[in-house]
Amino acid sequence: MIYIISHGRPHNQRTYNLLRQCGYTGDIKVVVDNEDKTMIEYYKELEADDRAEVGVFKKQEMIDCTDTGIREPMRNFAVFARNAVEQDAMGTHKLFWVFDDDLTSFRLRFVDGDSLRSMKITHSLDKIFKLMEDYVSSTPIATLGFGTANNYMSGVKSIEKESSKFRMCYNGYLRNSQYPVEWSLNMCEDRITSILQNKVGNVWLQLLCLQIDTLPIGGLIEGGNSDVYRNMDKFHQVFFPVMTSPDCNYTKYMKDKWFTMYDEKTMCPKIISSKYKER
Amino acid sequence: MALFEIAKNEADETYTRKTQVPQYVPSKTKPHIDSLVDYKKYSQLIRNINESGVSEEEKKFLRFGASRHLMFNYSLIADYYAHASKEMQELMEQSALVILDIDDAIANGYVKLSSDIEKIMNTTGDRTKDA
Repeated sequence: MIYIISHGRPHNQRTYNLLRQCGYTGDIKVVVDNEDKTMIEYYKELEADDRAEVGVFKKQEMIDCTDTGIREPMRNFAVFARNAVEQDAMGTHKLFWVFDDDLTSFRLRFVDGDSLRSMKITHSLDKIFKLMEDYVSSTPIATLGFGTANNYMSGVKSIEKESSKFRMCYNGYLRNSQYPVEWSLNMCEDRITSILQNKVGNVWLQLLCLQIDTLPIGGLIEGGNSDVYRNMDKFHQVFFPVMTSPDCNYTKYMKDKWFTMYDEKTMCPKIISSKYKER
Repeated sequence: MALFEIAKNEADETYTRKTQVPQYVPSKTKPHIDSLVDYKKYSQLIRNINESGVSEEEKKFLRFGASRHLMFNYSLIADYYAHASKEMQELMEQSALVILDIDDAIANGYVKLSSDIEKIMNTTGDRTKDA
């Protein structure tokens, strides 16, 4: 089962279209909240697809049971939908996928001589997802994510670094329901929850040979939470990760903008081979 | 010791073309236990708390809060684990200070998965190179 979390974009379902175009034939549930004024439009958009449905969650209920970190939560953020998905999937699916609604491509990243190249996935998603599911089923991995554009900025070096340090699951991931999770904080919940979960020994990992691309945050496409990001000062966006894990997150002011940085050494426990264990 | 024949990544930014597995390779050298945690910010906060006029109960709470600023260096902790006694290792595992990859299932599976995906891409026609 694939969950796509969405808001206000019934006629611009990029992830849904991409999944079907790239050969995914399985079930899809597009998850929207009951405060979404375009909710009815989602049903119309998906009615022709027998294997797609709309799932509606009660936003206030999810706000009430989510640790947002602030007294008056901002309502239009993905953390509530992520937690609604967790509740829906638990006890029903051993494994489940979750994607944002604005994905633009899946790509294989590979080294070709001295260059880091990519190849778009055009129709093999079913087979690739099955392999990833088999992998997660046979290991204690709680969440398996993909690489994102930032991970490949060093070219060939990016993909050949010791990959245990890549532990953030953003925009799209495969979850193992054996390891329940509550997504935390009003925004940056993907980064924050990845760090918090890894810190307590749950394995969240990125598969670097696969990259997912999305539209830029706060970009031109309407719906989602673009408007919130466009109107919010950057300081608020960088503050949440520091508040939750001040041991590894810090802020930096560069070129008139605030950024959250993290120290990989202090972020989460290392994965090491069991051969180092004394018998 | 045979376990440490694999070359350590000396710095976190170094890389080797062969290493792609999601496992950290501990150092041959056992770090000093004092180096595993950076106490700087924590000590400063504790000093401020101790010198403050707030109640003992409040001080107790603030000290717990200050522990959030202890910076655990997980690379050095993994290095230490590899040289620690059995009892110490077990206690470190209980605290999730390292994550043990039992029989290298995560690492081997990761390499196989990456290779299998590449094979699929090469044989099914998803061949549009775009970068």
